[in-house]
Amino acid sequence: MALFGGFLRRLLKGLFRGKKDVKLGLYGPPNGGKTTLANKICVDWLGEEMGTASSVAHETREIQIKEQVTIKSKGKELTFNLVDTPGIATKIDYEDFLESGIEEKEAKTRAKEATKGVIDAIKWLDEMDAVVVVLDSTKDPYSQVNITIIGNLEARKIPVLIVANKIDLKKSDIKKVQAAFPQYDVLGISAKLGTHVEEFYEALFKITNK
Amino acid sequence: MPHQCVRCGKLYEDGEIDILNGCPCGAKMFYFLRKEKYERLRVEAAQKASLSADDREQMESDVYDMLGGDIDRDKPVILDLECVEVLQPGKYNLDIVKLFQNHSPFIIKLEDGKYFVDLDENFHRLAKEAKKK
Repeated sequence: MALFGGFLRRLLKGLFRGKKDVKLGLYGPPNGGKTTLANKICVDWLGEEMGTASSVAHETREIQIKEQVTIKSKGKELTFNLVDTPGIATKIDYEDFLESGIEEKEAKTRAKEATKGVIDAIKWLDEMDAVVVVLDSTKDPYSQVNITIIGNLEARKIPVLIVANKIDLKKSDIKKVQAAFPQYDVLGISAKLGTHVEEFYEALFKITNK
Repeated sequence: MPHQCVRCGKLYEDGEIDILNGCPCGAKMFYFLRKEKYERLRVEAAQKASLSADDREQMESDVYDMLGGDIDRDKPVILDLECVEVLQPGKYNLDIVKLFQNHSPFIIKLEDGKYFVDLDENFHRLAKEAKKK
């Protein structure tokens, strides 16, 4: 049975060679708005949400994939598999979850899952064809997490678009994000309100070379 | 400047005479530590010393959960590099720079001298790299 399974896989792979699905990853620190953006994309083009967004950090603790998302802009069409990843952090402490009213036992489980989520997100990076780094534009962009993610994408030659999210908030400072990463395209958006989302879709064509 | 014994990890504050005599473990080699690093290590050491047996068991079980798959729990592996450190149940430090380095083995540090290495993941990675070449 296993042999037959392997044969079938190879046969299917052979038949569809050259039709590789484009994998578009959403990466960034926790609470940058990755899932809110993933939901916006999925609602706009598939009519359904992808996952649950929350103000509590590390809400997404497993890799979420939405296959065959097709977006259209200016007569062009782009189909990709959208990969929403858990927020990458250098320190995960269950006590941070207690402040949000989560019970201690659940908070510890959440911390464990969030840690595994970071490891998985990093493992998946090599599978990506293009990555959107989602940053909270109200926060300081010069963090170890941001610099490490973007530096590693550059080293792996994976095309990057930096999104400065939450521009609807007063403290938002896109210029600071642009100044931190001057060699990249930085696009200010509000995933929550849909501000500049058309420009965002247009930019996806650019980073995927479509 | 604060010091730490290279062999047993015991911490010494600035100017302690013990350094001249050597560590009680017998070692006479010490790391020089910056004040901030000394303070951090001191707090972490105190936290770890106060962990109960249940906490330690929980930490071990959590790490097995994180690694997943079939792991031989009777085979400890010790290496001097770690990507994830478990300070106590629910508290983790992640070295994302090392995690991003594909060639590094995936290691979780549970406590001094106790590590988990995801061998399956490493073999898979090496095979993938060999294939590319």
